[in-house]
Amino acid sequence: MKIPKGLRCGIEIHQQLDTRKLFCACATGLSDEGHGAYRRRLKPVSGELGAIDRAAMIQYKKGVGFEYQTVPGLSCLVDLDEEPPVGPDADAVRLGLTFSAMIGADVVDEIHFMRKIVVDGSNTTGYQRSALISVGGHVDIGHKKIGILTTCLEEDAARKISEEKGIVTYRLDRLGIPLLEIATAPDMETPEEVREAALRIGTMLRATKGVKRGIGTIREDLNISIPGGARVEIKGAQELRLLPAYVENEAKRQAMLIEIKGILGKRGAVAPAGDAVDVSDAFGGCGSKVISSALSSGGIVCAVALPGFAGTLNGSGGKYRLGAELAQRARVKAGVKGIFHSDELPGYGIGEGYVKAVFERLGLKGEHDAFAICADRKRKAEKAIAAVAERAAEALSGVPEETRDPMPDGTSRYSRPLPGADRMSPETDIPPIAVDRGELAEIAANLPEMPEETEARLVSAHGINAQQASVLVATDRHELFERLVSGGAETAIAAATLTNTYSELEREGTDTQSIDGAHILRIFEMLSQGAFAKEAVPELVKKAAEGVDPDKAVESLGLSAVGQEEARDTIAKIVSERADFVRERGMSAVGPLMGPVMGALRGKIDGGLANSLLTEEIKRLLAEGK
Amino acid sequence: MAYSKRLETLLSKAGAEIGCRLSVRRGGARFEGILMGHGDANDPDAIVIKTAGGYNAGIMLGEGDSVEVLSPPAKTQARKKGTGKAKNGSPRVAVVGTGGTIAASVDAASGALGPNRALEDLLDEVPGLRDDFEIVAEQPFAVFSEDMGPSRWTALAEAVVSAAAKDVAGVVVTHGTDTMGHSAAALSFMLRGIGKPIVLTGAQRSPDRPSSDAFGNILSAARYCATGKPGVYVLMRGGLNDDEYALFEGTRAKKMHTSRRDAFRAPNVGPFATMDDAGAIEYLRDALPVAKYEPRTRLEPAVALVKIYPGIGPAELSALVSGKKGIVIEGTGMGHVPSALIGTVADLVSSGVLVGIATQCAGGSVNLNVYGTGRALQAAGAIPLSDTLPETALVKMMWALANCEDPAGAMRTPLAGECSDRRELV
Repeated sequence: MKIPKGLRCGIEIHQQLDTRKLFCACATGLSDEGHGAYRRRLKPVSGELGAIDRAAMIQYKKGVGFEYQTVPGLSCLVDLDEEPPVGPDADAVRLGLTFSAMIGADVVDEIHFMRKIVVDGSNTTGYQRSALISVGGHVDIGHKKIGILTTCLEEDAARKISEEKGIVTYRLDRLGIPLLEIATAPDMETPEEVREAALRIGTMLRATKGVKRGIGTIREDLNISIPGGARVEIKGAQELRLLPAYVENEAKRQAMLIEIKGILGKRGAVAPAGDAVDVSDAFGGCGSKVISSALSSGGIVCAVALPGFAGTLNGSGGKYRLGAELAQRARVKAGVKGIFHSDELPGYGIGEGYVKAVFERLGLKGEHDAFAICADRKRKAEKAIAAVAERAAEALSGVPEETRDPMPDGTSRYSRPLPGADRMSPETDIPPIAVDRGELAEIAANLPEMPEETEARLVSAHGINAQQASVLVATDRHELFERLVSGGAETAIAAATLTNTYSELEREGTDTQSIDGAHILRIFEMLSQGAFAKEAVPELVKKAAEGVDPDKAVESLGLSAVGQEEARDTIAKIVSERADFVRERGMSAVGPLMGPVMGALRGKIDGGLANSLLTEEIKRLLAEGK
Repeated sequence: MAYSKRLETLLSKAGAEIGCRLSVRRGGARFEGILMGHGDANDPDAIVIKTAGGYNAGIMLGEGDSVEVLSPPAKTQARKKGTGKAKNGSPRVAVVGTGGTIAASVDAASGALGPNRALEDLLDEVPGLRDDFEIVAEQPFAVFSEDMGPSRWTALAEAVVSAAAKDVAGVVVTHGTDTMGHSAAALSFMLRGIGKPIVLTGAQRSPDRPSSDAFGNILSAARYCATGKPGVYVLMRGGLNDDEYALFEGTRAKKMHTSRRDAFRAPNVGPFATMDDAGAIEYLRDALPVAKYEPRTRLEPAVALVKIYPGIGPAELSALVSGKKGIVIEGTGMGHVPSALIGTVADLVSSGVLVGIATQCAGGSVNLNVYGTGRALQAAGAIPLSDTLPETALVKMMWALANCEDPAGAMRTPLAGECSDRRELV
């Protein structure tokens, strides 16, 4: 299936800032260990129209549903909601202003922190604090401008650690880490543009030098729609390379649902009657494990008639897959493992006879009639079937608006209906913050260097080629490069090391992110002192990637530079051992002998020097023989 | 802070009123949103708008900037009341509201919290309360508890007396936490012998937050009223978990933390009882013996509480207690004052002022026998108040001076569990 025309996509980027927490003086970082378990519950507060989230209210009445683990140094009373917020952190606010200036946005004059109600427990307060910093602005991808709607400063949520027996456990280390939230206009029209825009915004954020790096520190929400489809949000994508796949798969999913809507319309299909029918008696002696284990443990098999849906659940050679949508809804809403539908039956140990029996029990006779069944405990199965009926009814009008979770294979899965307009109220604990126009002007006059500016400067100032400059900037190694060069390193070696050597290491599976910049600086310092030859650099960088201190690595690799005389002795020995070969080949023996010479002296003397010493020794040997 | 004259003119010319949708031009920038109220925390030259995403933001409007009304204020729907109906035979519980964080939400003028939530609205929001209890609510006043004092303690006591006289199992008092200990102590002396539970409770998080402790505290206080032992108590969280509650005798409760939900403690004695999420009570000691109930709600306001500090001299002390009929001195350690003050204390006592000595330590008892200064204070006529909390001692002295024939004797006698001769390891 092709990507449908008229695709519109907007993204929301959430980038963690590398400051202290937004509303306390805690350091920011993640811990593998959490302590304690503070039990809490959150009462849904009524919105402006008096609507209360019923599921959340049921949870509240049940008792504590959330447990929080603390981490010393990375969480405090503010994170536990046992102390009012302190702040916001001035560095974080300034980063928000800086990014706003970089995209040419209009900054507000008073920053008002708001409460965005979230009662899933991911915030101990029951709300996320978030403030609008600016509206408008744009970023460029190629020749296209992508509009920015808003730039907000907000707090990250707590990390979900586990969910067991109705208790969700969170760790408080991530709660309160400042996030910049950048929402674009729905200006992207292809999956590739989405990736480019996300990449561009990410690069600009990194140019501020104030953001965190690494997996999980930047997350994207995608808003995707096609004509005739609906706005669907894929929330929390973390891998840039997968963004085009999410967009493409979602566009195709919407196109499929629109086609199914057409088929159902033609057949005059109507919303299934929501009542679940107990068809357990039709499954006596059924060989399906799912069915027999449900029945033997006192459960039931529950069915819903889907008249007119045949072939849309799983049909046209897998082109139509409404069945998967029904199953996802049932899983999320009822917590069942899955459902069976008539497009995939007989199968899964359910024979033709049982299928016929269900059709009969449901009074289905039409050629396009279908059904879905679920085998589980009575209440669960009924709930699942109700969810199936609800989702099937939505198929009549095409694509339902919803929030979906990104999967590692580039697809997405239903998670919940799209939330209504954000319910926001002022955060009374934080007075409005006046934006100082003088500070804004100062920020605008000293904007961080944009990546392309850095590249151009590297080329003109250091004479490296554009390709190297682009790699250095894209990999965030340009700062290290400039420190090496200003420390006296040879430009070409420094550039080659940070580009070629690093990518070789990456190809070998080494994590170059973990290389300590201080180690690289030390390697080049020793190189300029003549402690070893430049050929030894890659080996030392590799050691540095393993965390080995360069001074120790030089020792353990036996790289200490040898004097010229010692080198000459080594080379003379190699030449004399191969005297016959040298006499036979004459001066053309230099090439073949460089191998053993470098084998003995690599990293200890410069390759050029080795070559000239070898040439001298060969000449001497040949002269002796005359 | 009001709008500046210029902004006021600009807004009125444009016909802008709170709630209308506006388009705002500031220089080359354009903002759109709903006009919100303007408070003390906002710049006089800034308007506050709510943007499409729900965010509020302040926009400064200077010369040449403009506003245009896009649409008039939308009609707001009246909030539906959540009136659950109690099952027949549910316990009747009175609730007396006095304000505090437990009744707080945003105050338009300051932008911060104000004690402005009507008691009935607050009670409507407590999940399960109106299902399980028949509630009789009364709100004599609504203040933050820093504004409580002798006359409001009397008014509160009278409200509680009249609420308790109705056919109710007990009375819940919702109160600000800052001085809830003082009020609880005042009720403990005034309503000695009341045969019903009187439970003061508050909140450390206002009820406009999902994480508020207000709801659980009110429901738990009502539960205690229905099944608990009589007497005046403070009920708050017993720990950092939402399913642990603790009760303290009204004369023993002290706010020990500015912000934690479990801010209240009872120095020297610990909690009187704990309660779980389902309302199960575990008593940690016996309740006070029930005395004859004779409510006496008058107080003598001319009593001072003076904290001793290094360097305080006779002039400072005299200035602080001028015109008082009684003073409670929060002494250092076991109840000491600088030697230079002994003479002043003696003069006060001989002029008829009642002088009591409490300690400023967070735990332990006054003992004026161990050091010379203590003996000198006793000789001067000061009354050691054992381990009575200074706040409780202040209130007790106000009560004793207004209601007892022998106030000095009353100060030396435990009347409402406020002090004890023994302290266990707690």
